[in-house]
Amino acid sequence: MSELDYTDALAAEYVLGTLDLEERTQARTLLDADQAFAANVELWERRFGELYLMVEPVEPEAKIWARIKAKMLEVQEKSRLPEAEIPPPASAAATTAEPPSLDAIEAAISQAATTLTSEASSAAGTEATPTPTSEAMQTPAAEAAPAPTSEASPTPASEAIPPPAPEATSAPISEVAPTLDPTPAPTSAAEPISAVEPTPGTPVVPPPAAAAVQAPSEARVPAVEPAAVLVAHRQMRRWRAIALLMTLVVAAVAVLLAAWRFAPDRVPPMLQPVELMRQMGVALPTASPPRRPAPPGSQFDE
Amino acid sequence: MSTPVEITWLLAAVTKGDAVAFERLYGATCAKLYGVVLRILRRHDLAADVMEEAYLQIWREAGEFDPAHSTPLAWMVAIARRLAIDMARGPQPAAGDSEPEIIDEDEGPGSVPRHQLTDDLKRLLTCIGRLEPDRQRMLLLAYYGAFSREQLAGKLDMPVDLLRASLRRSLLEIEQCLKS
Repeated sequence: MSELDYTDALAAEYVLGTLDLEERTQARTLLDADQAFAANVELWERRFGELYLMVEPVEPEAKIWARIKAKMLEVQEKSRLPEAEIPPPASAAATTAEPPSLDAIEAAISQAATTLTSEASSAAGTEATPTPTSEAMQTPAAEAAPAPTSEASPTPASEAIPPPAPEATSAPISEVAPTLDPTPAPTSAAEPISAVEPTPGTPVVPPPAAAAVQAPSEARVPAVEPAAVLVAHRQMRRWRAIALLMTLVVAAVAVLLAAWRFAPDRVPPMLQPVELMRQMGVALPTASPPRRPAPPGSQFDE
Repeated sequence: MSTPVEITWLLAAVTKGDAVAFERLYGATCAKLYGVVLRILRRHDLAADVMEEAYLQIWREAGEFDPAHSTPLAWMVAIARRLAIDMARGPQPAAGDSEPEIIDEDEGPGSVPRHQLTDDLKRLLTCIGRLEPDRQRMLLLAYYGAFSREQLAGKLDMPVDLLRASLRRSLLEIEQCLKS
């Protein structure tokens, strides 16, 4: 209780950086051999992990990137061979420059810590609950990851398929067919294409900016690799387009049905059922008028 | 400075061997990592070596980053810090002791802009702030400078044994504070 046990202390101090060479070597051996210890180190790394935010950035010399770039292609070619020994420093030219003084650091840090403490403790009650800032982005993305994909395909599909079905079955065939024929049909062919077309155009290589802009909420799914996300996006957009289209078709049919039923006289002649059926080539029972004058003795009323 | 989301995207592209993404990742993060490393090593030549090693490791191991456990930048900083501390403890080439520590009184770490304060950092700073002032200083000095206990004892002018006990007690308190 009042003491960290040895391995816990070793893990914490390994992360903190206070071990001497010998202890550090021991810790590294343990890291490779002992999973519990490795997990412990990871835990401490997470605990102290964000302290780096308080470090003032220092722009490194450009030649460092040149060195990395040269080596990194080598690494790629060797494809995961044991790492090459680093050559001795090429130049010790950069001797004295302007990295921060430790005393200044200490001062600033303790100052920051204390001011923060007072702020934090005053806000301690509320702090734990909602924090609607950019920090929210740093919450584990894993839980968020499955959401868009699982939501993507089922919903549009369930939207797209069921609604037409009941309408279509309940409505007489002759009523459904006409609507598909004159106007909506061309769009149904054209729209999916136009909806899909932009997607191949989106760049495959630099996804971050594009994705972040076009879908801020979905962009918080960093766990998935970009290619997979792009594919999912594309599929989702296609499904959405199809779903939208089907909804429109259903709405048009419904409107037409309602018009026939409730305001038949206001339906333009072109859309009158009889006219539509004629266009479709459905043979109208023209025999009905002659049948009209029922024989007086008939027992069936019309 | 890029957002964590952008850095995660870049990191994901790097796992596929995307060299362009890697260059952008370097551009977005190198100043932060260099700041951390330089503070530990206090020599530009050594810091440059560590930067090279760290980024090559990031290039190789980008696939091992787990967003459930840390932010991408924290992961990268952890790699760089480990290497820097290893370098600081190991036999240092050439100038070693004779090279003076780089000191510039004008530059210290800025306090973090409030919007950059993450919940985790706030919580940690609150816990550190509950320690006695001497121990706060000891802990932060240890983290940022990555001094060994002997060096720390020298800087804080106290016996090593006492420092060790004090350090461990502080770590324990922080652990308990963060757990609560």
